Amino acid sequence: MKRRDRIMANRLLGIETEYGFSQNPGGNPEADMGDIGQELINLAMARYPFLPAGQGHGIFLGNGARFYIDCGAHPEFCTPEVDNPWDIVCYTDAGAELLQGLANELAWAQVGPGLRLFRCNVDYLTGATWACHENYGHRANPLGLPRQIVPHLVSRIIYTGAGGLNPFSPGMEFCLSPRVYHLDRVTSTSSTESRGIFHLKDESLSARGWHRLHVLCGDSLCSQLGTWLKAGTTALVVALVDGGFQPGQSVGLQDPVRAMRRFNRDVTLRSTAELLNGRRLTALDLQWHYLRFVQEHLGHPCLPDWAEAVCTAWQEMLERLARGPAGARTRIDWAIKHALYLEHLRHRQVSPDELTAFNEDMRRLRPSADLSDEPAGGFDSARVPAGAGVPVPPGRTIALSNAQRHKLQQLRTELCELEVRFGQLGPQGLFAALDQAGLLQHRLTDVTSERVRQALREPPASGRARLRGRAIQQLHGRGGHLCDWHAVWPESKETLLDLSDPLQQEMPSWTPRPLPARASAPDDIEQRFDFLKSEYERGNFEQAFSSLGEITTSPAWPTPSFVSQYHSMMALVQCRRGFFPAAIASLNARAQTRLNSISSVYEHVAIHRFQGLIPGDDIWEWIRLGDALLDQHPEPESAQAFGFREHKACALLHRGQLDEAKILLRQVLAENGRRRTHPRMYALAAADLGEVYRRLGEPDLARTCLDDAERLQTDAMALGDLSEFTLLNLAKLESASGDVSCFLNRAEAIQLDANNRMGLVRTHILRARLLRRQVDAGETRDRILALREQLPSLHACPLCAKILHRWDDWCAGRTLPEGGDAFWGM
Amino acid sequence: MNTTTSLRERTDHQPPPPATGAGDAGGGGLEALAQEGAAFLAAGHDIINAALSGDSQAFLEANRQRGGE
Repeated sequence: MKRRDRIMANRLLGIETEYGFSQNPGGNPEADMGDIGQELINLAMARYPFLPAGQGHGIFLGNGARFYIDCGAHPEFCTPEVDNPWDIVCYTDAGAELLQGLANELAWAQVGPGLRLFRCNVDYLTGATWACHENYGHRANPLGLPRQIVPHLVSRIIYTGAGGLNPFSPGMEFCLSPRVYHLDRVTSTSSTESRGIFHLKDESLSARGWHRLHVLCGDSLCSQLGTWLKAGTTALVVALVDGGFQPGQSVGLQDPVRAMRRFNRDVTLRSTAELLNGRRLTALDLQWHYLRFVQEHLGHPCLPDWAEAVCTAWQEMLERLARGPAGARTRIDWAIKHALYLEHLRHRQVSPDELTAFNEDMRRLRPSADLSDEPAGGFDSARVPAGAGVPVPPGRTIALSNAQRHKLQQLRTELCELEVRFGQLGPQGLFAALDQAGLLQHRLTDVTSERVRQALREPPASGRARLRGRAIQQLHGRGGHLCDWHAVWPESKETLLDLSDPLQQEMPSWTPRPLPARASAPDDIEQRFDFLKSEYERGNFEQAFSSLGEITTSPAWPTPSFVSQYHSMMALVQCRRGFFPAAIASLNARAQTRLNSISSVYEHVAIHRFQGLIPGDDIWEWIRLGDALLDQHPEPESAQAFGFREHKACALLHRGQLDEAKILLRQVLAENGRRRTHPRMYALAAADLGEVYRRLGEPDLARTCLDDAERLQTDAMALGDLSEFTLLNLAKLESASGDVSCFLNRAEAIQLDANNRMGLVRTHILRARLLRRQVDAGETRDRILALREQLPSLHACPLCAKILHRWDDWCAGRTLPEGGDAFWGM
Repeated sequence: MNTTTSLRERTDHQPPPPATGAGDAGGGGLEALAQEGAAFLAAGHDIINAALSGDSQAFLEANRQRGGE
């Protein structure tokens, strides 16, 4: 049987919407938005059935959705998994209703002056972007997806764009999707920087071979039709790929990022982009291609039963757009905005020539972050980018007076205000007011207010979200249970309600909790070592420890070379697990320990570096030995020499020799930067240098180093180092509790996933100090004490003892009487 | 009895409304289209004017957002 014949049509999809929010006029400017966000969560917990999220933060609701506060203190609502685009709209709107209801209630309860919540995608003042991620379940090979789907993601902006201004231009350059300017590559692993059109993250949150395509290039939309088309068309393209088809094969783009930006700035939709085969197509052409592909396969088992309905509306939208923006000006976000903003400019008597001159002036004054060889965009639909197969009409060059320029700058600010107000939740929102006035035709007949209200309380009717919702409704109020996308479990962790099959329909029974799923270890001993090294580098120290135990059962055991390697790895794994005495014992157990090489000295330095919360004093004995060895036999190329100097710099940092640490770290980064042969160590050095800069009072330099470390560690999946050092150092740099919380939550989620107890202690300790108003200090201390009981390294750590002994001072944010670092050296 | 099924247990999935009606660019003659368009823009402009605060810079400052995702 061919694969495509057995593919089922049912796949799940979901949407995560981040909301901007601020206080109404009269609010306390000093108020911490993270605290206010937490008020929203607290109120939701009082009003709706919920279970706390078991990993990460926030809560799962009785409708199967998740609600939490994300980076930048943005409230985020994730719909439950659904199997059709109508339910996507229903649950997305239910999320907006939930948030607006909570904000209203906070206002009524006189908790401050009330809140404004926004469906926006960019901030024109700060350059921040937050958006709306989509998730599509599939069983196709994830590596084959980008080629097939990227042309769709690039071209669908003609109906999925939120519309707005180029956020990086000081002019008034209208575009289909402002967020496109935040995308600078085709694929990416990160969602917070260097964003790509296609997100490589493949965190399935499911079993049975399911993958999850995580799309982060989309916009948060007000139009129901826009959201419906966005989810429906993309789900159909994913379904075709899952069915074994190649819908994007013949329309691969030569330069997807450039094509997306070109399409983005042209409201006439006439710009073309070059394909790999040399042809040039417009975004409309590309969308027609995908639509025809789906239509040709209607009835195929890989497609859901709603495929035809989506195709009908998809075709109608493309026909409308072929007539220009006016064809869709009452239906989809960007076309509505374009019509109204243009009308606003007309009322303010701005001529097309004035606008063109203004945009060109502004570009000259402040070059945009856009592609440098592209001309400025604008509102004038007759003016399209050069080199796009459409001639640029000869514009008159006029000279603007200062008064004209000032007027246009004010108008730009007004348009930015309209941008924010467009997506404001509640009746004050511009889109809501247009809708209320009966001016729009964006509503789906199947998504009534009654259905949306129902979706606020009830889970979808199929798939695991229904089971999750039912479990939450049953367990709510009893206490002691946690929830995640794939399971519900008691805090005792003794049993588990396994929801790892996303399509399961029957409520499973509670079963004894299995060990965390992991990849099966290979049989060959060399492969086993490779496997456990990769587990170690990913920060799965418990898994690496378990794999080491399995190595001794290999038929090749105990070959001497493997025994030596075993003890080396065991030492590193044990010290990162928090078992420093066992690490020392492992090194001592090696039959032939040679202390005349930098590699053996490096191992001792490494385990002392991770001896407790900070390096132990004995590290200096080994550093002196290593220095002497390197003086005699420099080994600049070796990983051990590089690692030795990195650890030495860390020891200098913790001894307060900041300038020496800085010089050494900059040296090793510069030397390694040319080769980048040791990316994990390079990233650790960058993280340490960030901490050095923080202590030297250079927060911008610190942030630059830590951002670099974060990117490298994310790319290299060095999640242990990322969660124990980089994210925690980033948290120390922030003052807003929402940002602090974001970094700490990310670290904790990684550590919980890997059962990294040393990392968890670091995170708990910092959380108690940085978020003291949000955590129960006594409970946190109890958690730390419990973990310390399990971890000999912590038992013997003087800094851990000092912090616990002076816990109230630590939590109150006090510095030590003897002075020193604000975080006592943590 | 499960009361949660009504969201999914339906066979009457409806696509969006047909391409006719007020503000529709797809149906009717050009004259009707122009009239509808003018009505939409006029009403929309009134709503925009009512929405603006009068001090857009202050509004933007008060509503600035930090990094997301």
